[in-house]
Amino acid sequence: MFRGNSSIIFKLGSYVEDKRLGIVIIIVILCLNVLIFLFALGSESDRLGKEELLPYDFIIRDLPEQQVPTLRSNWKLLLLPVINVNAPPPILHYINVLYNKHKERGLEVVAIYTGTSEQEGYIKQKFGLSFAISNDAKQAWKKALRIDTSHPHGGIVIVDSNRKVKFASYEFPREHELRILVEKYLLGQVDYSLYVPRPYEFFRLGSSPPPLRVELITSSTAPPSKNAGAWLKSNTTLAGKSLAVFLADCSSCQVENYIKHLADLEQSNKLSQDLIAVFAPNFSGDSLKSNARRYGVNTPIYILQGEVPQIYDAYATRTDVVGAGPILVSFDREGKVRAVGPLFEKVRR
Amino acid sequence: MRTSSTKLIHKVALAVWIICLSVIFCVSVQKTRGRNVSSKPLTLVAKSRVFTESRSGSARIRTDQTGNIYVLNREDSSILVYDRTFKFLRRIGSFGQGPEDLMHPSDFTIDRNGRIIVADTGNNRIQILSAEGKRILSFKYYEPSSIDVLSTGEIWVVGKADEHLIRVYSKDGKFLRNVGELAPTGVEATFPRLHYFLNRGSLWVDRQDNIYWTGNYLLTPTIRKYSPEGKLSLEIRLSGSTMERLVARAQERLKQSLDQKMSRASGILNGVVVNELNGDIWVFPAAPEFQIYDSKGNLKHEFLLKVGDLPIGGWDALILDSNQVVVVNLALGCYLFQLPAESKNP
Repeated sequence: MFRGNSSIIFKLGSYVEDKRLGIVIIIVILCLNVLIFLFALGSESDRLGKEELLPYDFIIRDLPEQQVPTLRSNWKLLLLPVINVNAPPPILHYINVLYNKHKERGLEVVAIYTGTSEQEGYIKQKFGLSFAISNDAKQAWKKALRIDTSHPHGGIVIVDSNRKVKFASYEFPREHELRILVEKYLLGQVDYSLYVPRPYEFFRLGSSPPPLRVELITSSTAPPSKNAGAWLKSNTTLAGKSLAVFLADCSSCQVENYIKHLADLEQSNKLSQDLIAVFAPNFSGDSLKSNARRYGVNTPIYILQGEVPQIYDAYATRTDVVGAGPILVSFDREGKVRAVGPLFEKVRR
Repeated sequence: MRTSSTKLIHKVALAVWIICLSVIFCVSVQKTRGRNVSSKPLTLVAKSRVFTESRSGSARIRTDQTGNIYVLNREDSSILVYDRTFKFLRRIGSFGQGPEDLMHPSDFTIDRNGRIIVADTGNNRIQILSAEGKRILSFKYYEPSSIDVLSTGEIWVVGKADEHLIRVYSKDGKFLRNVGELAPTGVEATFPRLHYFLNRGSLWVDRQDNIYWTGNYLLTPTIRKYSPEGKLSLEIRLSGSTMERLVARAQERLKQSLDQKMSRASGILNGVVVNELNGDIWVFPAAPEFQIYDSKGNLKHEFLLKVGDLPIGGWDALILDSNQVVVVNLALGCYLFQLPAESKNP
């Protein structure tokens, strides 16, 4: 084998009419190969090392700030929610609240999306956004942030004034978690005394529920109007009724399935009480209307406005802590919560 | 003819006699097993709310060698520290992805050196912090859900998608061995993800370094006891009306999961706490009931926990003395309960 190899080397050498020169060339080529191999190995370990440090120790050198003319240059903390325009996250409401509260202290928000200007207008109007929104059609944000801006869940990136990523996730933090992050990185301390009642406390057994801001989408019994949800604001009108609440991680994927649930529930006759369906703000009204027509749903359907109450079982055991599962809240004759539980148990025959 | 009929009568009499004896035996066994357990669980109403800084999201409670009390709050992704008089001292960790941050932690424990070892679920790592919250070391672990530590410093971890029930690491975070086989669920071949989900569990280590693994979702409510070497020494199958109710609910949920191809299940057991005073096993089902079993798995007492009129489920507990216990509820926080005289520990 060695002999064969050496003879090849010498034959190669004879091409350049000098065996020694041939050997030198071969050695140089071999050395280059070794160097290339070592370099590749080094860059691989570098990459792995950086991945381990991601996402909170990663500096963005090419942040496309010029794409947002309204962005102030002296910002101290930049919140970059990435929005799926087909399923905008309800937390946009709260991000707007945080922005208005802390913008004077240096908080900037740029929502990133990929879509049309009509979709941008719809999102701005629906959520009443006062911060900037940037179309990433040229994928400048995608390259800079190294995240998938067309991810179905969207995502969020938080960058400090040194252009260092402090938080990055394809899953939106909950409202109080976002507040903790903003206060920690903007103010340097977190005010834990600010207590926001948890949504499952809203629907505690025996309690009166909070007023719900809703918009009527479809009803066979009541005409649509801007104030159609007013009756939901009074607890007495909830007396003897059942509220089916639909939350969704991906509203566009789940709307049809949920409307089917609702149709099953109507047909099962398991509820003696009047049923009201309330959907999370990220559901599309048009989609709800068309599916309700398709499956012949008569139950009045509302969309929640503002923050989404994440409803849990009043027992709050491991059982029903499923954020996106539909929930059924039943009210007694006085309008107080009689039972809270997963909807599907009522649907199943 | 007469002899044969006499023989037949003798045989029938013998059969009746055997049946009667069997019935008497079964009834007496049942009575012994159900001793001290009333058909309706006794209601325990909380005396007061404690550790008020940790409101909803309270999930775990532990003490260190000095007697300080630590409460893990999942909502805030932090651990609150109290002294033995329940005075709030400090907060460890906050929500985030940084070196000393926590994200949706599921469980934690404290070793003999006072190191706080956290199942930092959202960050997919095991975080080891000092008592002041400074990072000592961390190692990767995909979605850890429960954790405990032996007196030797060995760290036992339960994850969310493992081939085995438990993974064991050295105190420096080096993987040592796997422990425990997954229980059969009937969906191993057809729906492996759901199979792993159903085999999720939580851990408790007693002072003798016995490890208790509790199946959170298994349709056969099970507690397994392992030796420090990983040898299964006892398997307790829980039964009774509460378990039957929870299993029926879980079966219904399982059908739904299979229909929708979703890896979700209804919880049956939240966890166990071992009473170091007498070896009793305190079981927290995914319901407002709370049960006490003896060390062999016989049900001794069952209580219904309430805060005012509201039934609450327990998640974890801190046994303060022979008749006082702090029960942790994920939604409402920590509440002090007093056990009735008949169930007091010796």
